[in-house]
Amino acid sequence: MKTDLAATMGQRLRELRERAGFSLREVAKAANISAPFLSDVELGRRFPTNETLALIAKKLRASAADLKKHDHRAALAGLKRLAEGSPSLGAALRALVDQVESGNVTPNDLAAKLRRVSNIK
Amino acid sequence: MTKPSKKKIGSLQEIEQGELTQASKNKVPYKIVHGWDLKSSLQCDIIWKEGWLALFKQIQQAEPDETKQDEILASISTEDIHWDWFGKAVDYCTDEYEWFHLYADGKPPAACLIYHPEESALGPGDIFYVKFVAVAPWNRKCDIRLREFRGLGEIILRAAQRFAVKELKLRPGFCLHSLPKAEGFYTKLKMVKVDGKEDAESLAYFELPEELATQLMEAS
Repeated sequence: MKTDLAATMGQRLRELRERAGFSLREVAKAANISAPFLSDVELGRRFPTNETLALIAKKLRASAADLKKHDHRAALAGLKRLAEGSPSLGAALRALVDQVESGNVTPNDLAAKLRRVSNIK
Repeated sequence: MTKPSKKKIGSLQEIEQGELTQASKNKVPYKIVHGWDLKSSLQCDIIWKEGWLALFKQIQQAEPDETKQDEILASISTEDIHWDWFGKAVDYCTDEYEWFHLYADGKPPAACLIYHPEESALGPGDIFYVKFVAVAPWNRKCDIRLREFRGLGEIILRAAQRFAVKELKLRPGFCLHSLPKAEGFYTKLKMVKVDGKEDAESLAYFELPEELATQLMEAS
């Protein structure tokens, strides 16, 4: 099955949990966390430790490594670091954000261009 | 991609009303509204932040000594001052959550968000979990001035408890993880602190036993 990488980790977890027919409580118990905490994870307000994510993944019969691909925090932090280290890149990124926000470039256009540049599928 | 089911905008329901007594002894009607409401959450952000600014100004005017100002500030419960109610409302809009806003004088001086169902740590049956509850700054204890209203936290929790039993078919009782300075309030409500159930930030877990929750519901 093709995975939608545009989904956040929380959205992906919820999708997998609902597809498997588990309640929040069932998955939370398997991961030794509370159901409200798991709900926060699904809503993207909190993030599980690696150990907790592994337990959630096991319950959902998913791969923790695949789920981690949906966690965009490291990529965003990397982008921030690059922009802070390079004023010209920072300016280019700001212009890009303006273009997307004004509707001149759609997120899908941008994703397609980035995929071409970084040579990923 | 499965999207979480969203609360319907506009499905607001007035679930309780009553009368509050101001510090000046004036009686003011209040109502508690249940439902997901971005406007009320935004009002909490804007009006409460204005309230915080007014309180800080009052403290500065009442006490010129900065050390004493800090002491007064430290005595007020400010641990939730950064809460973004609008952001919470945008995120917490799925079926597991219920929103409550208390309205008096056309403003929301108390708000509460609950999660359900949650497993009781004290006995069988499902209860609810208080995700967030707070009152406006002008209703918080502060040595330099009187609170406008008292008891709003208990009033909104009581309404949430009644709603949970009547509409969500949960048994009486609720639980939460308390901010350190709020622990006194929950202890006063006779909630039981349960060791070993702290959250990721080490906040203590409290639960209101069924019998006391029943008493809370029956109180006027």
